[in-house]
Amino acid sequence: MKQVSSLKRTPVPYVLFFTLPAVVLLCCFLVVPVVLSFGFSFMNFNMLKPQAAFFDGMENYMRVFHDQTFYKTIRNTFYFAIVVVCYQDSLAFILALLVRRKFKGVGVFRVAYFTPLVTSITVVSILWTFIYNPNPTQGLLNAFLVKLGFEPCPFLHDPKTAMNAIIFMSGWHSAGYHMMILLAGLQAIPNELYEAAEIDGANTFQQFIHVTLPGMRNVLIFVVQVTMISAMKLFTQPYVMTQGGPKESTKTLTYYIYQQGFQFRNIGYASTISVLFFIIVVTMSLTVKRIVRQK
Amino acid sequence: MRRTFCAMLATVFSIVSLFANGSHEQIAKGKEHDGVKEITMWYQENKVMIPGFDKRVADFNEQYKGTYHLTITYIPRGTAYAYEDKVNSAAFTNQLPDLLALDGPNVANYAANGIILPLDEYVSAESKADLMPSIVIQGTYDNHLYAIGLNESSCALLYNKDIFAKYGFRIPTSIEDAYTWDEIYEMAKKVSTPECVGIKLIMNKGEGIPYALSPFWDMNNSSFTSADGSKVNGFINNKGGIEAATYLQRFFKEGLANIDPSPTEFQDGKSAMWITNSGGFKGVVKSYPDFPLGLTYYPVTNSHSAASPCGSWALGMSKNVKDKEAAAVALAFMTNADSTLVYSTTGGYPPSRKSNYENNEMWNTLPFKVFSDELFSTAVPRPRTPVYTVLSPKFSETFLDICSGSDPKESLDALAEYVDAEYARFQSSNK
Repeated sequence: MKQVSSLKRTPVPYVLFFTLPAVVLLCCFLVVPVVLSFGFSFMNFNMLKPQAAFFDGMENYMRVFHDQTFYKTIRNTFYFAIVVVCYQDSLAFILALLVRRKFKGVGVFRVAYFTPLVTSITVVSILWTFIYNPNPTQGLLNAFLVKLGFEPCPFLHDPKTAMNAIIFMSGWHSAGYHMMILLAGLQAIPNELYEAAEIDGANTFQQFIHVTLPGMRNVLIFVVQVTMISAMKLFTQPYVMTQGGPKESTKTLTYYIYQQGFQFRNIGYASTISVLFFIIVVTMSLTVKRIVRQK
Repeated sequence: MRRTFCAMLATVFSIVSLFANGSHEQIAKGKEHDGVKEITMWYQENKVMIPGFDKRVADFNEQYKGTYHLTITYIPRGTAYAYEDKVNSAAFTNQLPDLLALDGPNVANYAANGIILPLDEYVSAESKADLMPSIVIQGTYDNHLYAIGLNESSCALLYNKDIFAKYGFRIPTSIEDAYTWDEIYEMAKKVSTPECVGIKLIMNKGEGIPYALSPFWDMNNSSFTSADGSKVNGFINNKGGIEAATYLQRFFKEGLANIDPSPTEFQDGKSAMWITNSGGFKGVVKSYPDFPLGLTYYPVTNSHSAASPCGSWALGMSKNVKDKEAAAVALAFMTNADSTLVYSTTGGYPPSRKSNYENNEMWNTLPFKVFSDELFSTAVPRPRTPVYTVLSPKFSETFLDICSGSDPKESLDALAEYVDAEYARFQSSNK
């Protein structure tokens, strides 16, 4: 109530003035690009010849619906997003549970789990390309497999394993970050609740189900949403490790937008895919939000 | 009140400085300081070439002191197409420098899209006549010269002398005598061990693939496109093309070549042969002086039909040039015979001018003579097509798929169909 009256007391020019920078920046870097993309999606627009761009009606939309690569990229993007959410967030939660308790050297573990995130994803991707090298004399993982008596695996060069290899690496890289968020959530659960549960005779598993999980609900929802949104934007790993191959099995929507827009210079077509990508992400986010609200 | 005023002032200052940075740079680009005209140039961040370019830029600025000042910026290329991405963005926003270096096969695309301007009126007949024929072909589009080669290039076969001596392999001494496809395959098979593959074929996962391997198509009654660059179907995927792809695929299928070679696979003794250019060769000589390094000619078909890679980075005048006359002076200087000689000596790439080969010990004696021999007799420029920017990454993608086991015919057919559709779209948007 006090806040409302304080806001009412602030002169309107001040309000406008202080919100102006944020509004200007949002317009420049969000609203204008989105509106432009929408406009470009109806144009035949060669990036190198912007002056020759012309309105092309629904041509790009007709093309995209017959484009098999587009459907493959949607499938790949969703596959990555769904699997990585399950795998990465479960891993992060397990790690958070492991390092929650205070014991000697716990800091070392927390730092160790968080460390991959400090390294640039580009550098990590290059390193993992070496680790996944199909030649056992050059690839660490295959050298290990061969030592154990298995056949070497062409991790990044088999359509069946390439995306999974990227998922494994991505989860390893980012789990530490989500572990820290989840750890903060775990530490915010009052100890009294566990003590009360213990007095009531709840074992560790029951405490986890009836105290930890409900207490972590909001944090878990946040982590899942953040992971899902960042997973939908997957670009660097396929760009560095596989260039979208083999057989387009790791080509994602953002990679395809980049390829069409920058490599092939088809801004019009890239904008069309971007608009569809935007619709997909917004629909997905709203659906998730609705499900969460209902519960 | 004072606090509010300070906050408002700080906000205004932040916004002004945010936008001022960009406009300041923009003004500086075309600025004339005390009558000295500023000229800007971009070149890829090729570490071995940078000393040569720095020297020639310094020479230019010294020679034209008080009249012109040339500033060069090196743009990273990464392992694929980062330089081209930067150029595309700059072209889109009209932020290109006056002089733009570009990879040879991109000349047609940049020229067709008006990114670079014709140079006919700025290049004398004498200067043009001195350029290597392949450089003239590479730099010409629609009968106009658009770019002048900064250097030439060629690929040959590097081999590990110790391994070759162990197996008693013959060493070719002329192009006519070069290893045939079958010989290369047999040798790779013989020398391959769990620790060492037979041959390193992948230079990088971008332009390096079509650059180093397209001659396998050219020498086998195939080519990437029709002569005018308008059609791919029926050329890259004809009988010879499929044979070339199938031949190369065998190396990967049978573990004789690595699809993910480390940058120093050959130098580390983990591959016995390496198809690379003279820059790669010079790099091994310089950084691994004790390496048992041998060099011979690019392979030929079993019927001794030969072709070898050529073409390299060239310099053009961008559409955003501010003073054409000034830029032309800098372009002439940076591509004259003295400059091309400096680039070739420092970088280890063959010169782009014929006169540089006269009395030039480096390029007229072995081992570098292998590269110049190829350039004068078997060099085949990469295709000149306005859709090369689609053809190149799609070919690299397709080739890597083939290496991973995809059917060569199906893959090349799909590639041809895709690029032809892209060409049709390009034509329709340029009507």
